[in-house]
Amino acid sequence: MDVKKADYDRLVVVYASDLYRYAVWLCKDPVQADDLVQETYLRAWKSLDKLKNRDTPKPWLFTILRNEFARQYSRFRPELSEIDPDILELKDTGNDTSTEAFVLRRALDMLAEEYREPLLLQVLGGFSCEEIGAICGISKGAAMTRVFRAKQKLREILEPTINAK
Amino acid sequence: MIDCERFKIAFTAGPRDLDPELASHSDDCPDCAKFAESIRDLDIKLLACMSIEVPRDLAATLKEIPGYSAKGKSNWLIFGGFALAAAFLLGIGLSSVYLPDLISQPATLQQVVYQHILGEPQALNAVFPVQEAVVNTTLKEFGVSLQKPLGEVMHVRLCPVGDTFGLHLVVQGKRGPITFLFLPTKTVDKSLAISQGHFVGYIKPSPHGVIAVVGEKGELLGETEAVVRDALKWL
Repeated sequence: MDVKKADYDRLVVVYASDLYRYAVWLCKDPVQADDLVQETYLRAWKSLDKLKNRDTPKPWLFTILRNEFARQYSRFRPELSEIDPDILELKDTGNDTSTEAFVLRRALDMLAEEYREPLLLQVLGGFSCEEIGAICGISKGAAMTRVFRAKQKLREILEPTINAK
Repeated sequence: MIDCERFKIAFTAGPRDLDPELASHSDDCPDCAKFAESIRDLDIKLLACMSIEVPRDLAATLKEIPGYSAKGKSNWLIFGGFALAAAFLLGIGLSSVYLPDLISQPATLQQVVYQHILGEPQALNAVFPVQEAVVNTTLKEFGVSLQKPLGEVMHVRLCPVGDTFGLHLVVQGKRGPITFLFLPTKTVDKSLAISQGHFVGYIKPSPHGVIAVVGEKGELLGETEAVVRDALKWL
């Protein structure tokens, strides 16, 4: 196997799951998410030689996916529906059907995109606010503010649920 | 004196981005410690909520992409074949003159491991342990699960390491962080020692590729390695 293909396969093994989850939350459709991830990897394959720092390809892949999403789907944003709860087959909660989990999913879905996206990148991608800023084209401070506000909103929404227990 | 409000805002925005001075504030402030716990709890719930099941054939499909993208380019391949042959012949000519200066030694596995550790400084500087849900999810994606407690995991991630990939795990030792790299596609015949600056460690063969263990000088690496190996169950 040549070096480029081996490098590419490593990117698939290590990052495909995170990218897919991020894509589903971005476009709210698993089929489109699948297409988006495939397009991302196709572009990554074609531009692999341009990857400057081979030790940090993750932000690069997320940026490609994000740009591809903006290119393909941004004009359809007004038509996007809420995320279908059926596609959220929760991996680590044993299909948590509690009221709290339901409320959290709805709350996440209702967050404005400018707040939800940095939060997704932090929680799903494990990125620092500096990396989030670089991916989203905003400053580190702006990324911190948006993540803070997103969590603040979620806490406000969840608070009555927690208190009602 | 650190302002509690400053801590809460910074901690909510990103525990990973906290500077150590600010991070230690919660040690002395029960109110902020309680707040930090509630944010960790929220992060765990968020991760569980966002962790959508990934199609089983996703990776296999993606690995096919280079093959598909090459289709329909047969003319270019033929042309490319001639070009490659010409370049090869030219290369033979040039290599007799320049080759000794161009050849560089490939990095040894010890160097690859050491460079990877240095390349992820956040793994060594983590202030808070990784949430259990994150540990479990990452381990599962790598193909292992926890059968015993692992202690405080300060960093866990699937990483590209040199020309392969592996599980990068950092646990807290007595003298500092101890790094484990599990590299399933690598093999070594015998143990290799690592000694660079204040880091010491080794790379040794394991039933699942190789395992690299690196920590501060004076750390009892073997004991920690036994705990970690005992805690992991290969799926």
